[in-house]
Amino acid sequence: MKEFGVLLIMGSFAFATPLMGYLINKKYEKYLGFWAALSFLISIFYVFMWYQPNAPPSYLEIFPSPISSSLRFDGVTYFFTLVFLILGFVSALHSVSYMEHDRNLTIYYTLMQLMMIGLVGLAMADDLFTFFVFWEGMAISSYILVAFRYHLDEPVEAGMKYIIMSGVGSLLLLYGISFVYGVIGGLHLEQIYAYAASLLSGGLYLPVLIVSLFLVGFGIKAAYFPFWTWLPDAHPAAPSPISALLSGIVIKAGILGIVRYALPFILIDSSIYAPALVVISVLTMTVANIIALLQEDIKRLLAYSSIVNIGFILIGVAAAGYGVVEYGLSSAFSHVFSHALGKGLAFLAVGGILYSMETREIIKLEGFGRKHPLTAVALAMALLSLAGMPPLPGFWSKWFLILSALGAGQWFLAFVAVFNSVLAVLYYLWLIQRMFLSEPTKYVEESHEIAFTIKASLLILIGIMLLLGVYPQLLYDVAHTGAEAVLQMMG
Amino acid sequence: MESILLLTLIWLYAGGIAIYPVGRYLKNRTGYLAALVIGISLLLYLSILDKVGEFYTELYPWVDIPGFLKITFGFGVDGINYAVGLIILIVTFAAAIYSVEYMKHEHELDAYFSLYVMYVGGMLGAVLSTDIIQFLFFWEAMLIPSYILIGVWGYGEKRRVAFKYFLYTQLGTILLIISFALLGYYAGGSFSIKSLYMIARDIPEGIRYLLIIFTVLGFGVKMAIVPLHGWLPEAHAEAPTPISVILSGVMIEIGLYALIRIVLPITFPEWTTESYSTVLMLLALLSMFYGGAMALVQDDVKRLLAYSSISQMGYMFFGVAAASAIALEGSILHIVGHGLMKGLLFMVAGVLIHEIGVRDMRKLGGLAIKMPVTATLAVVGAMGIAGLPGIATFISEFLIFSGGLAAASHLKLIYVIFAVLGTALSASYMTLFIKRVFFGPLPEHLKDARDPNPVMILPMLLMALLGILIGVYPRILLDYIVPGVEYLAGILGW
Repeated sequence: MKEFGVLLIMGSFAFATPLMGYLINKKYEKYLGFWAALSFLISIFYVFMWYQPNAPPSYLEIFPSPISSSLRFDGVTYFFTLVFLILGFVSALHSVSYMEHDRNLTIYYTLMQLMMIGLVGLAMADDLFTFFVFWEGMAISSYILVAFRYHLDEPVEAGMKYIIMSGVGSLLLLYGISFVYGVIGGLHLEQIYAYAASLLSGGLYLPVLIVSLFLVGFGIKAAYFPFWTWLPDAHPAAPSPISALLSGIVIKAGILGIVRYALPFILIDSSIYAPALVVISVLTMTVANIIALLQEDIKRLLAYSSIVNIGFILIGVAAAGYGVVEYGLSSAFSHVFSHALGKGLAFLAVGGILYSMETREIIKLEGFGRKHPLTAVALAMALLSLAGMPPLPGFWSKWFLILSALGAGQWFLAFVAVFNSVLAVLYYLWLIQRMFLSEPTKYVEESHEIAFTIKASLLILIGIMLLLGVYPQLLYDVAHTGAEAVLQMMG
Repeated sequence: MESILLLTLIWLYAGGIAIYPVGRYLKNRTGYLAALVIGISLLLYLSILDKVGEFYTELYPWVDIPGFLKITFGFGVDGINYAVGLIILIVTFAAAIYSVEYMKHEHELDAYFSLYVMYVGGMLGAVLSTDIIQFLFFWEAMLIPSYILIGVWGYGEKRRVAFKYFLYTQLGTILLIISFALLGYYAGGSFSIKSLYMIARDIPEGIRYLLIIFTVLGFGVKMAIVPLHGWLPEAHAEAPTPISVILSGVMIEIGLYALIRIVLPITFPEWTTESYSTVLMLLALLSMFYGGAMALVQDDVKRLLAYSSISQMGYMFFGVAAASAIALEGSILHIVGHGLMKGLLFMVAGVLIHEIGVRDMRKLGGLAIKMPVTATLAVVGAMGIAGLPGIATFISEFLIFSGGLAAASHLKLIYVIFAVLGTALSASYMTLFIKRVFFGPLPEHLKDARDPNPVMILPMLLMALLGILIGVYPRILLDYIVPGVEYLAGILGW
């Protein structure tokens, strides 16, 4: 029961933020970032303190029947909450300096906290109704955050595109939820699992429709093939800490939705859904990778790489669909974690670059590493981890994924995964080479020093990445808590 | 002490990291610190000399996920990798001292030596690994520093060359990752080399054929077997000379070592089938002759040596392709001998670049009078590459050829004859090199040439003396290599 206090903590901090912003001098508004960071940090410790891994799930009823809304805290919740909060903490810390010249920071930090509450709530939701409420809470905050610098054209345009596509996705999701309610008469996870188990095969018309709607609805948020088109606009347009959150964890909310609510159906019949996931995964990885090769804007490059990595995560889900549930999900989750760290670090490092020289063009970054070693090393480490270079967590999670694909008998998928991860090395290396091997350009020479909180946020993520890279058992164990919870639900 | 190898590796990496801040104060004397770090690790490494015979291993649990993945972190030595590890440390120690003078006028020496020591750590770790995933770790850990070292401190089109080097190796690594994943899949998620030996016979035959193709191509990129050699002449020629010494002298041989350690025992029956061994030996011959012929027509000293490395790699690969115990012993000894001699010759080329700034042989000549010591050392090196008696490489080439004959089929006899003829090619390009650089008329602009600083001479002298020592008394190494190979032969059922 006590675990649910996380939402209470985050809620009270978020509620207090606008009040504080109203009371304090506008000069000190930027320090609200520390307040937000504190909220996430306390929440992380709170989760650590009160949750026993592999304990049976605990429940909290919010509204009784007929609305019947309740929260649950199990391994999946624990895993995602942890990932979300770690990234939220470093992004808030990073924002303190990064956003210091912006206006309306009270709104910014309130929205950031609301988005985080939405995400943590998603992980805690026990039924689709609660899930949808938090889903929309998270989505609406993220629309505004993307378009936060509304005096510029790019964020507004990207935000608009994001609202339209994501809105359609939410509607389709809601449509799917209505079918679930119509068929089962309830929206709770246990009910869905019980219903799915009662189906002898997935060849029935309605479950196929439900899963399709879910895959599209969640897919637009997760941005896999062919629903990704909003992502390469929205993620680069947002302020860098928000990009880190969007690419690092918000798209993972789609994965969370699939694992929670579509998986019960996917698991019953490996002949329909799993091949579909394989196709989606292969197309997502390959097409996004090829487009990424052509990018000249560093944030767009990273955005496309996020899409590629969603494709990687789907390998694990597909493997689970083929019956390798435990290892498939564990590897998918470990890639969720390692990609969140890697992409978060990459966007925060790019935030450091933007802070010091305000350009996103890769060509102008030549020699950046000579002048700002820490930021450049952080970016290089993040990219190498995303590319799957040992000894970084990306290597391990990709390795887990490849093994689980082999375990599921999907040789072709494993091959495509290896091929794509090496293709990714190409464009990452191109970027790293420009940062370190060239003489600094005049833009770099004129760049200014990077602020302390930005460096601190980078150092924290580097530390976590090195720890997980050198001691991958930890990465797997955390991810395995999530997989274990799904196994428990399957019975 | 029970974890002396782990300690060695930690020492190298800790030293590598510490050099970066300390190097800022030492400026161009940083190299001595790097040499000290490598020297101490060499002493640590030598301290387990008496345990080599008993297959000294250290194992640490790393990842253990029942039924899915089991990776140990361990270091082990037998005669085979002890010799390779030893030569890595000796050559890099010598090249570090050499760097002090050679790199004196370069920029950012703190970063250079920091990466240098970490590069050594990567190579040593790869050679001592007892688990293929751990091997892959160090495999990449030696790629990244060397890539930066070439890209920042190299010559000519260094960035393009470094990128090409990285790309080639990384493409090879795809094949390695696929092969390793397959191996682990058949071993039930276990990746330790020992457990792979156990399950080798359970892998379906077709997969084992596939494994040979994938791994020979994957490691072949690093070894620069001929159709995959594209990166080597440029990378070795444009790298800063101490790094060329390491690249040619020890790094490319690690690919060969991995073939011997990982692939050969697992795929032995397929490896020795008529068709496969024919293809492999032909590849080796192709490398020998192509490298040798290209070396003959080079004007650039370092490019000549780079092509000569391709040719020499052909000999080592020939020994592995012949797949007999004696040939294998020869290959491993050749790793040592070639490491010393090719390192020595690259250092000579470095002396030319450092002292007179010329590496084009058309503008060189007659230097024997002006640089007697360098010339003598160059002749020793040239004798080594040509495989003349008295130097380690003679013994090793002799072993490779007699091992090839031991395989005793008519076809193989012809290959061995061709391989022996190949040494004539080595002798020709080496003689030509000596003649064009050190003999003949002395051009006007070389009047002021003289032998370099003793700091550069000493490491060269060390390498030359070691080469001669092993050549005269090869048992100091063979006594360790032979039991190692015999143990392997026991596994293979020779």
